[in-house]
This record gives sequence, C-alpha cells and structure tokens, in this order.
Amino acid sequence: MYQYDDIDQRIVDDRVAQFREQTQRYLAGDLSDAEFLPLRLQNGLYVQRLAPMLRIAVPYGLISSRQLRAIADISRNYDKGYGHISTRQNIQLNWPRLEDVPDILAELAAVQMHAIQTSGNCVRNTTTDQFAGVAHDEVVDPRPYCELIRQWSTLHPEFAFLPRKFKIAVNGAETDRAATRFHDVAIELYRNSDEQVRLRVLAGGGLGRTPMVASLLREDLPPEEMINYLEAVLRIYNLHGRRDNKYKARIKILVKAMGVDAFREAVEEEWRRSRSSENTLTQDAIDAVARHFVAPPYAELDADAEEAFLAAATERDPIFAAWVARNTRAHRQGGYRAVTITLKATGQAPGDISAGQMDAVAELADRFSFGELRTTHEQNLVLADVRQSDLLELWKALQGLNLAVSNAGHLSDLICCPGGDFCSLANAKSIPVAQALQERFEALDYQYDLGPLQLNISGCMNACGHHHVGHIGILGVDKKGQEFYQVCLGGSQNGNARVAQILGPSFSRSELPDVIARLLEYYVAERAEESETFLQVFERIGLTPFKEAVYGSA
Amino acid sequence: MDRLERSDRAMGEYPSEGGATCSLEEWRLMGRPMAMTVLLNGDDDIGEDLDALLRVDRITIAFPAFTDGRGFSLGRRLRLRGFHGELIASGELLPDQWAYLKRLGFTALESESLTERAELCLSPKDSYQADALSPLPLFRRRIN
Repeated sequence: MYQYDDIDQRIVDDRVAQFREQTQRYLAGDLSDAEFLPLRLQNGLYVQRLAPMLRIAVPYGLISSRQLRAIADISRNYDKGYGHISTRQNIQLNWPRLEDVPDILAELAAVQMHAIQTSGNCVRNTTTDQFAGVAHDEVVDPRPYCELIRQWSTLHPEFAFLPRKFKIAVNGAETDRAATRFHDVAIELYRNSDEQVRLRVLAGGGLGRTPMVASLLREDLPPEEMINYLEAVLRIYNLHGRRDNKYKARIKILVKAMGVDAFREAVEEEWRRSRSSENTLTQDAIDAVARHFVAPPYAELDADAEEAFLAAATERDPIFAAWVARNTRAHRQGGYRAVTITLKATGQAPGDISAGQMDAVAELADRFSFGELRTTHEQNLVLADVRQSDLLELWKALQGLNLAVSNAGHLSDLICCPGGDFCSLANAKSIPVAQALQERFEALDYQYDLGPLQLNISGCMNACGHHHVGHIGILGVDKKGQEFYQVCLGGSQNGNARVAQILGPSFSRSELPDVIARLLEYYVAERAEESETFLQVFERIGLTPFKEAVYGSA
Repeated sequence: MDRLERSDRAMGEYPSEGGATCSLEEWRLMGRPMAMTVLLNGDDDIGEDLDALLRVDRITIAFPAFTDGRGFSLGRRLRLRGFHGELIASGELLPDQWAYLKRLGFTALESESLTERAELCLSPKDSYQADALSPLPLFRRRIN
C-alpha cells in the first residue's frame, strides 16, 4: 500500500498543528461556532446528537495492521473502545472529546493517517473496489489512480468551499463493487483496443433525496489527463452549482439543470485550456505511485495441493464449508483466496468493531495476509491475500472473536447507517431495525436458501445506508414526530445500476420484520427455479405483485 | 511549528489607495478602461469581456459569505487566463481562508482587521497541487 514520503508526512503533521491552533482559538472564544464549523468538518469532526464524532479517513479502504492497532489504541484511550466502519470505507469514533481531537489527529499522523476532508463541502475520501489488485475480473488496478486523486484533492485550495460535498469513486473491474455510478464523479478504468489504459468519466450520480445514476461525460480519456479533467469538472461545479438550497446543491442537480450536453461542453471548454498543462500526469508520476501497489511476496504454491487441503477441511466441517463458500472468493494468485470478515453478528450494531477485535484482526492480518486489510462500503473488513491452507486456522481464530458469521452477501450482511441512536440528522433509528431483522432471520440455512440479498437501511433521506440501491431498502421517515419506515425494492449498485422503487405506505418499526418476511415468502413462491435471485424475480415481475403480497390487492 | 508558514511574510502590501472601484456593469458603460478596480461577484456573467478584464489594474472579488467558494474558482480562472494585476478578496471571509486564497493568486484581503487575524493563522507549507505560489504540482517536483 502507499507509504508516505517526507513531504506527505509534513503535510499531515502541519495539518495537525493547524487544527490544534484552530481548536485553541475556538475554545478561547476567538472563533464563533459558525466560523469553526467548516474548519472542524474539514478535519472530520462532527457534533452529533450525544457527542462529537470523528471520521478517520481510510483512503480507498486500505489500512495496515499497524494503523488498525493505532485506531484500537485511540478508541480505548479517547473513546469507548470501539469504532464503526462507514459506508464510505472510513472509520468513525462516536465519543471523542473536542479538546482531545488534536491529540488524536497527532496519533493518527504518526501512523500515516488523518481525518482530512472526511466531511464538509469538499472532495471526500475516494472509494473503490475492496478486491482491488486481487479480483479475477479486474482490468486495471484502481489503487494508483485513487492515490493520485487523494493527493490532488488533499487541501486543494480551490475546492474547499464547494456548494456541497463531493464524492469520487473509481472502478477498474468488470463487475462494479463500489457503487461507482452513484457518485458525484465516477471513473471507470478500461483498456482500449491497443491495450492502453483509458478513463470513462461520468458525473452527477448520487443517493440522498434525489437518487440518480451518473451521466457519461467522456470516454477514452488518457490517464495523464485525469487531474486536468477533474479540475475542469470541479471548477464548473464550484462556479455554477446552486448555493441557495443545500438540498439542490449537489452536482447531480447542476448536471440535470444544465442538461448533460451543456454541462459536458462547459467542462470540455475548461479542459481544452488546461490540457497538457503542468497538471498533466507524467508516466513517471503514475509509475512512481503504482510501485506502491505491486503484489505482495506470494509464496510459490502448489495450487492443487492447497485446493486439496481446503477440500478435505470443508468435507470434515460443514460450518467451515459454509464460511468458505460465502465469505471467501477466488483470487488471481493460485493457492490464495480473499476473505470477507463481516461485522454483522446478530446483536452487534452493523459495522461496529471493538478495540479488542481490531487488535486481534490486525494480528491475523500479520499472520495470514501480509499485514494489510481493507474496509468495504458494506461495512465489513477484507483480508485480501490468504493462503487456502491457512483458511481453517484463520476461521477458527475468527470464531473465537465472534467474527466468523458466514453471511457475506446474504440478508443479515446488511448495510445500516448509525441512525437516530447517534446521528443528529436522522429521522428514525436504524440499528434496532437491523437487529430485529437479524434476529428474525438468523437461521443461516434460510438465508442461504434465499440466495444473494442486499438489504440496506438508512435512518433518513441522506441515505448513508444506501437504501436506494438495496435489493430491499428501508428508509426511516418522520411522521408527526413518530418514527416510520418506508420500504423500497429492486435497487442495484452493480453493473446495471438502478434506484429502488417505493413499495407503498410506510410501516411502524414493529411491523417491519413481518413485512420483510412476507416479501421473502412471496419471492420464494414466485421464483422459477432455486437459482433465480430476489433481484431477478423483481426484474421479471415488477413491483405490483410484491405490493399486493404485502398490502393485499386493491 | 517552525515548518509552518505564518501568513505575514507573503502578505505583500495592503490595497493601495486611489483607483476608482466600479461594478462590472459600470466598467462596461465606461468603455472598459484599464486603470480601474473592477468589483466582481461570483455570479457575474463575464462572458466575452474576459480578455478585456485581464488587462485592468486591479480586480476585487466579493465573497457574500465565507461558505461561498465561487470566488476561489473565479480568482484561479483569472490567473490561469493571464491576469497579472492585483487580485483582492473582499467580504465575509475567515482568516483561515487566506492561505488558500494566496495559493490561488490573490494578493490581498480588503479588510485590514481580517488581514491582521489572517497573519496569525498557521497553514501547511507544502502542497500537492499546482497553484499560483507553486506552479508545478508535487508529482512533478518529486520526480525531478
């Protein structure tokens, strides 16, 4: 993974000193709440319902065992001994004291981490495929491009006071695992007929109040022009995006208002002037960053022997076999697999991980996966490079940590925002909904029978729980001070990106498990064969039959 | 702390006295004279007047609120297109924003009291981007 040089380190250290001084001025009364607000937000510090929340950047989801241990320590010393993996692959601490934040940032800087631009109206953490570099279907490794974007966007003087937040995602695989087209800017990496890397740039995607799939701006962009082109997109947005209404300030509204053709023309005009400027990436610069992402020193393995070892172990233990089938996936390198550790055990807030679990998982990463981990937008962790013959030992260790639930990609592996328990924006609680559903559908055999299912829960319209792209989505709404929940169906974040459709009138929290049960029973009865997934059935028969199954026919 | 840059060294001078200030519309009515200070707002439609504007002595960009970042892009765009005159930021800015404004080619803040506060703010000395103070982005400086 990327290692800071002296300059990267100085920038982060200086930023800590700068924020320390800003915090001192605020505490001394020299900065008003309103003046301190953008300064603290651009350092990842929110003031939430009960306490401040600090969002630590995990650039494109890559984190080392050393960094994870540092976060474990910080959560013990300054917080309540746990952290939360967000749907943007970052790690949040829910209970730090404002006065301690400069010290926390200094401890993070010591392990090459920061909280820069994890909130505020600026360019946020770039996200990507959690299986980057190891996925079978990868065409171009997105990580060097993500790092180049990280450097370019970090403390960018022109784009720190945008109309609204700005999220970029990069995908370099055939299957999009990063919901790329639901971002303000989506970059898709591919190879042209001459095998050269090219970028396809889309803009104006997003979730929130107005979910939209991004529109195509340009294909065939040479990677050298990536920064020039991004600056052009951001400049047009910064100059023309709406500032009178925060709900209409995202780039998707501007793209729609101007029309994608006019928006593209404005961007291209800006880009024509900057093309081949000093911001044009050189091959040397791209190569220098790419050298940080070379494959780890894999062992020369007898792939057949590794396979045989694993086959024998799964034969002996069906529970282990279920875990291997659900929570591990094929790897580019013979004899290795990528492992998903779901943070979705029943009774635990989705995405939460205790300091003890962080330390233990860091240790497992050292033993089994070259000391590196990834965070995922499904709020899980990944060990990307595990030998097949090590899987049994890893699984046993994870069992002892309550981290071996074999539910990756299934119903109980749901996405859920922190909701009304923590977030001051939320209309309704989301964690108790997740827990009620996990309890109701805890039987793994039933979940396996249902096949792959993505259930996403957001506590408000801001859609941090990505309810719009769940096969089943649940949205918390406020009705006259009461918490209610809207259900939507048929969203998809992969490949054929699509926004879910609202089922009908909302439900109380206690009704939800029965509603979901009826939807699932209806799906099972309707599927043409066992392999037809929930999403496929929905695509085949549409919303109405599901609606009738839940509300009765009109 | 030594590495951090205090703003005062590069502050230059305060806006000099004299030189009438006019709005974009007034400047157009006067026949686009060069010896003027033109006051621009983020939503001014400069359109075909951009080339003529690049030749005026001084441009002041108004920030209606410190959260309104249009002036950052407007200032940068003027510099990129070749404006060499004084570039002043006026309005409701935070002292902490001066470091970014300077990197985009602004030469001064209009308010003296804001300037005094801005001089006390710290900001990182190094940066990744190409800007008015550092024409080469870091990736080019690293390779060289």
